Amino acid sequence: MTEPEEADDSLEKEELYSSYLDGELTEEEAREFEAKLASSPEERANFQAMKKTWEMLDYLPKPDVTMAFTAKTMEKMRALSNPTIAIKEYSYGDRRLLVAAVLLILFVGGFGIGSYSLRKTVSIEEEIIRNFGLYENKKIYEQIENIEFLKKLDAPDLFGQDPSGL
Amino acid sequence: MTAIGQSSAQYALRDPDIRLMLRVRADEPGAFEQLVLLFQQRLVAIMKPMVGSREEAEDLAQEAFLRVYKSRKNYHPKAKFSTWLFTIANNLALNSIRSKKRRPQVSYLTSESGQQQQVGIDQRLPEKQSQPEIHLHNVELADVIAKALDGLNERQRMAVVLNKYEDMNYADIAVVMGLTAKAVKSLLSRARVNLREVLKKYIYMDGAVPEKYES
Repeated sequence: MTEPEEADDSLEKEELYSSYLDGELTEEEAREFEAKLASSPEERANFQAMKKTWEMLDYLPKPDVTMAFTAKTMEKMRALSNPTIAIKEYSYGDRRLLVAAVLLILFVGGFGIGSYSLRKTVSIEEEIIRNFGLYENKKIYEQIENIEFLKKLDAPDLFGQDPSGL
Repeated sequence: MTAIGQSSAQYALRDPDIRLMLRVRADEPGAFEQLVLLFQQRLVAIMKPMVGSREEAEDLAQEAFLRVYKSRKNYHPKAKFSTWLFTIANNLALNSIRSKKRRPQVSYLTSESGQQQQVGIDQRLPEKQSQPEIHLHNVELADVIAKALDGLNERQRMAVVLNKYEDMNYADIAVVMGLTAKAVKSLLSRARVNLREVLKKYIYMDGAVPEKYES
């Protein structure tokens, strides 16, 4: 017998063991299988090993579910029905989303404050350039008491041309 | 999903779980909570071997219940209610496993000294011992079995969990997993062979090894 044929035979045999254990064989197939087992100690031992392996899985304890699980599920269900109800406890995935959202808000907020400060600095500089003449003569203007006095100085009869033409 | 005739649908209506789900669909007070209480243990028990951690199993079980609730108005019984619920659970578990695979993680086990060690899948089982008569406490044995299950691929694992712990037949598992019954038979057979390979040194702890057993 060639190797692939042996592998196919073995696979078929294992599937037969498995189907028998799961009660998926017809009555006739099961009878045939039992007869084969009875006549072959080797097959019997292999089948027994598979059966015992399956029985070992009974040692795996089933996880207990707490009342907190039920309460949390019901709370989430109520939040679904009424989105205004806040969910008090967050799952692992929710917590990660929450952290991501907070980071995003901080980033956007930081960017906003930064760009506002930059705009403010630029506008102060623009104002200085626009009123440069005023800033340049600040000391002179400070000596003027009020605007009325400045208007009088500007009157043509005070510093106007001499009428005699000299 | 297998097409189910009218008579099967009528039969399904006699399923008490379906009747409960129909009460959920009608927004009957208390019905959803009753459904959660009825299935939460089974759902977490299915999820736990699939995803490993209890917290994640509970998160996924919760998500499955919420999906049931969200789609309650479109619910039309076509098969057993548990088959529908476990189909949702199977999809959630496989999606979670796939998304973890896209973000590769290294498995860590805590050593006796409390330090974490990076290990491969084949290294996760306890050290090989020369004698087959190893006396393990139930907790340690449960750990060995959990790790043996973890060594199966996710489809084999789901088929094992549904067959072993939910006592589902091949046809029902096929519906849940979107496969043919023949494919389920093959999955379960391969899973058993793999488990036998990994657990062979523990299976005769309680008695003599049969003379002809090929170890």
